[in-house]
Amino acid sequence: MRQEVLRMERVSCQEQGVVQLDGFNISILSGEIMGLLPVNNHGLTALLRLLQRNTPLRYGYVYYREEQVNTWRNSKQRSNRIGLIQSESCLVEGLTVADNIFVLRPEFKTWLLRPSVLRKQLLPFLESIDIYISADTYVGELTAFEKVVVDVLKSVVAGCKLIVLREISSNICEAELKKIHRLLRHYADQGISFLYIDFHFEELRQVCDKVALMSNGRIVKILRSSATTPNAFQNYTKAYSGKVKQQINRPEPVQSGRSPVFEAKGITSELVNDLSFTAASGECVVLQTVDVQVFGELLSVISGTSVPTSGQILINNKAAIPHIGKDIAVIQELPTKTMLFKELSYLDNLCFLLDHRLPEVWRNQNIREGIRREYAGVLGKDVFDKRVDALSEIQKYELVYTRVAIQKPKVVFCVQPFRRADMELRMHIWGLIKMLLDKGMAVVILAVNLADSLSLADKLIRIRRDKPDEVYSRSEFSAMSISAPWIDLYRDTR
Amino acid sequence: MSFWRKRREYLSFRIAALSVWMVGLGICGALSIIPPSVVIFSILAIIAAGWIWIVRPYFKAEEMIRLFLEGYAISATEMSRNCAISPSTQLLFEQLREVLSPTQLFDMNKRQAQYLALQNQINPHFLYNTLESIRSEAMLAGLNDVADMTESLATFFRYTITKVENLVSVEEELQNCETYFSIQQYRFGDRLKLSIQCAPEDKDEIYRCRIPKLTMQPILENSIIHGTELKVETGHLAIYLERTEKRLLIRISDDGLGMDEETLMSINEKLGRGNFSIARQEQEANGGLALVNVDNRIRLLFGDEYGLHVFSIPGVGTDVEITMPAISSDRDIKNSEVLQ
Repeated sequence: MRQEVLRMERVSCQEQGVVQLDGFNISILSGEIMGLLPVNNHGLTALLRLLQRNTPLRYGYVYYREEQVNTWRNSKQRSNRIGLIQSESCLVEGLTVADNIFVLRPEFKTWLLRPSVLRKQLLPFLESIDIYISADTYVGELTAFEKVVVDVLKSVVAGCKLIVLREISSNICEAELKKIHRLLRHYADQGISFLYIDFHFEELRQVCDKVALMSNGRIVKILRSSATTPNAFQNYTKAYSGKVKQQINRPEPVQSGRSPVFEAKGITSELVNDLSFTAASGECVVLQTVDVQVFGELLSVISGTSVPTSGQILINNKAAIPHIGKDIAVIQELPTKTMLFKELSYLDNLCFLLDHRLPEVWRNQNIREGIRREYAGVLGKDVFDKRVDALSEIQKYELVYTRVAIQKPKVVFCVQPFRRADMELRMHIWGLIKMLLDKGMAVVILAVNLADSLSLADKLIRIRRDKPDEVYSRSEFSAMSISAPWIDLYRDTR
Repeated sequence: MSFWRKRREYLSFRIAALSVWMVGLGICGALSIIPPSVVIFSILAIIAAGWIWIVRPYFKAEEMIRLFLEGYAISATEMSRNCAISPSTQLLFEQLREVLSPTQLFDMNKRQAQYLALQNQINPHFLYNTLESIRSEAMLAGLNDVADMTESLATFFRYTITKVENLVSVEEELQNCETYFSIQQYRFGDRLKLSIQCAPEDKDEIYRCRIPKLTMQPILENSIIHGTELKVETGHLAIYLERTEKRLLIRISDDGLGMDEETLMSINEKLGRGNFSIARQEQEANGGLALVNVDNRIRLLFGDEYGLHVFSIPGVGTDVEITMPAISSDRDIKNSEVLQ
């Protein structure tokens, strides 16, 4: 007889007058890996908060380990012992792995720390999962994969019977993700349950026993992975798949005779080894790496902030230090949080870095008014009068990408553009990148996980440590042994 | 003193009492009978008492009345305990408790379940199709099949019509589902398949669990009629049974037509707020009567933390999840008085 680790029965809750969860029903048994596929982000944050802190309910019941921990009648708001692991780790970077796992526990009462004892305690855990991480390494020095492993171990050691994983794969490559899946299965066999949240069904299918589809704060269906086909969620992915199909069938830009506007020739630095690639106008190149730090180094080399050990950058076949805004533009990871200025108006945000094209833009109000009139048709009239932090997520993305489009750079670097985006937003971002490509810009996507990027790519370059980089053209995608969402569509058109 | 003791539960009296204190304190303060520090301290004490005795119970009462008006299942006892504003409102809720007592509601559901069963019995399509099948079988083959069919039909009707209020074992209920399915199979042939699945190690315990009669069969019937009947290919029905330490989980799945999000939401709303919806005519017009009936009987017997929930995607299928306490004796029922 299995224990029911979590049961949420007809849970409804609201925050600031907005219903976040509405008749939410889910049950997770011990040793079960339950996938959660949200069609949209609605209610997801409220769900995680509710699971951890038992926030007040409008209606419904929550049971953890078969005990009622929260009801609409009486919300004690006590914390549940549930581990939460997200792509941004909550570990303390300045402490060692052993300290994070053992010392930062509420039950840890020892005053005198003995690293040798902690090392000994950690060893059996690492041996059982067949992954080696030094107990004395500072968490700040770990890779994203190792951080997830430490996070899981921390939750296991803390006695959590349910561990929630939210979009952990965005910074982890496929091979490492497989190791994480093995790790989860190992602990699931020992009775620990997992709620694995991700926006890609293909990923959930690899590891989960069941997959729950969440839409507008409700679970609409729970499918057993063994009996589930991608067609099960066809209604929700039809529009996206249609766009991808259209993209796959378009002619390859290089084949249509366009010369490269950007070329990296044998770039070598601390983390990058002899990287060469070209990007033609209207071409989408995806650079995949297992180490997120490579992106930072690559971007600083490309933007001229740091000098590579060897190699050079060519813009329009001429060696040059690229000019940000004029030659290249960088759309950072989670751009709505990193690239918008709340203190500036919508229009000022839109005109940011435009002075290389229109030097008078900040002095001449008429130019800015002209831009407003021109883009009101594209972005909507209302948005110009709104505060930037009052915009919806989609409007914020539109603002960032349109700003880049106005700058008309030759090449746009997008760092993990689909990260944290739900299905609806991903479609939108996809459309915005497509808009940049249609305007003749080259787009270079820097990604760890290929999930959505591959659907836009004309060329894929996999940056390998201590190995030559692997280059794939679009016609070769179908032969790749990866489980990206749209890989079947490439196979179908083969 | 006894006058106050009797009435202190009512918000109106609490407000009156605290107001008297406030006025008295104001007069004493104005006439300088007591020092200002005592006045300030007393005001703070009255505010604190007001928060604990008036504001918090008021919000709780508001919340209860709001949920009740939205159609959620709030027991009348709870209402009368938490929403007493004055003696007359207390009387009102007492009256409501009489009207909406679990026994009466269960009785109403029981009668409706019997009505549903009778409706099955006299449903001309059901009878016609069954008899047609019997006739064709009689014409085409030997009499064994006819005998089998007739026997199935008799068993089914006997189980369905007698003592609907009884609790039965899961095993008995599953047998009835199989009987019902065998009758339907004469009509659908290989186009319909049923599987019953549970962990082998838990099978005995699950099969011993007590559940209300006619819990699974009406849902199975719904799955056939609304889910798989209109499907061109073979329809697969499955009953998954699971037992945890405290609960019995039954999931009846079909891979039929499914339903859109709006319909799904409306059905789950009916189920989630169902105790009194049984008396409403709208249910019959919008369908889902059998589901609401099963849900109501479960809630009335075991409490409103149990019941039915529906999951569905268009073109993929529908799951009806039934949650009940895992009990092996009729004595363990929370509201056992409703069975008498």
